[in-house]
Amino acid sequence: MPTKIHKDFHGALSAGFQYLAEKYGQGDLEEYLELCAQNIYGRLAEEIKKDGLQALEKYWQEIFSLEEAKFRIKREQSEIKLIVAECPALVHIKQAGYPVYKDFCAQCRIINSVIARMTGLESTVKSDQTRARCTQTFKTK
Amino acid sequence: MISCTEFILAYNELFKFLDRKYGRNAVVDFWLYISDNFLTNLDRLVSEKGIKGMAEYWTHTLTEEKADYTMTVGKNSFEIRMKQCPSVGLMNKKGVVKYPFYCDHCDVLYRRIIEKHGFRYEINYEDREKGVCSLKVTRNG
Repeated sequence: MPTKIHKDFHGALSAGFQYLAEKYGQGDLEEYLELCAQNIYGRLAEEIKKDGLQALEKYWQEIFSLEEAKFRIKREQSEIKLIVAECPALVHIKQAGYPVYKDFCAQCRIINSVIARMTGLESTVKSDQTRARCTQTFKTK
Repeated sequence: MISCTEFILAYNELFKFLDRKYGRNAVVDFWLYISDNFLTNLDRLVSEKGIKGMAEYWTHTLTEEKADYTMTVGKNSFEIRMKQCPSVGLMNKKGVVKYPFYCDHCDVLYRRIIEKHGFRYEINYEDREKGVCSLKVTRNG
């Protein structure tokens, strides 16, 4: 039985993104997400530097399982891919009837790029927000 | 994706970001926006069910957040005694720098909704560092 989590937080985050972008501009939203990456995911970056891509696999497995996402992870020696068939955040926001910020997926693009910068990796995120799908990749340079 | 389990950390960063760039009033403005635009479920529950609606809302959120609290629901009053706030607990556990006025969001966000429906709202922060507080609502008149 999965642990119950408070998924409405995804909606609150979407509202926060919308507020920042509309009141202060896209630049502020990006600056804020960069700060989030540095201050929240610093420990993950350290673990990736120490243990390599398996640290990222462990993190994704834990988080996306907890969120009951439809996803799979493909890890090779110098590359790891997270294939999200149904983003739990977007699905919950839509089901709950909260507004979805038009570039909600910016969080993954920006946070992953900062993690990549901190760890010396390369990252790409290809997302289809309307269908709640994405593929996130990290690979060694 | 910023997971639900990381949301509190992200919101804390947003409060700090807004305060640093635009001042404390900008943080309060954001809380007012969230109260008016996101907490529409609490507004609806209190409007339709009064104190029972409050109990329904906070039972749902605090259970999912795994808070350590007691709730007392009377005919004309409603009280929550928070023994350990899950948000403060998480930030302490993660060792992040807390926004100094973090706890104030519970006053700004909820007072506005509760008082609109004919209730008096009091919140007492007993220990902001440990996340101990109490919230008391009483019916006016």
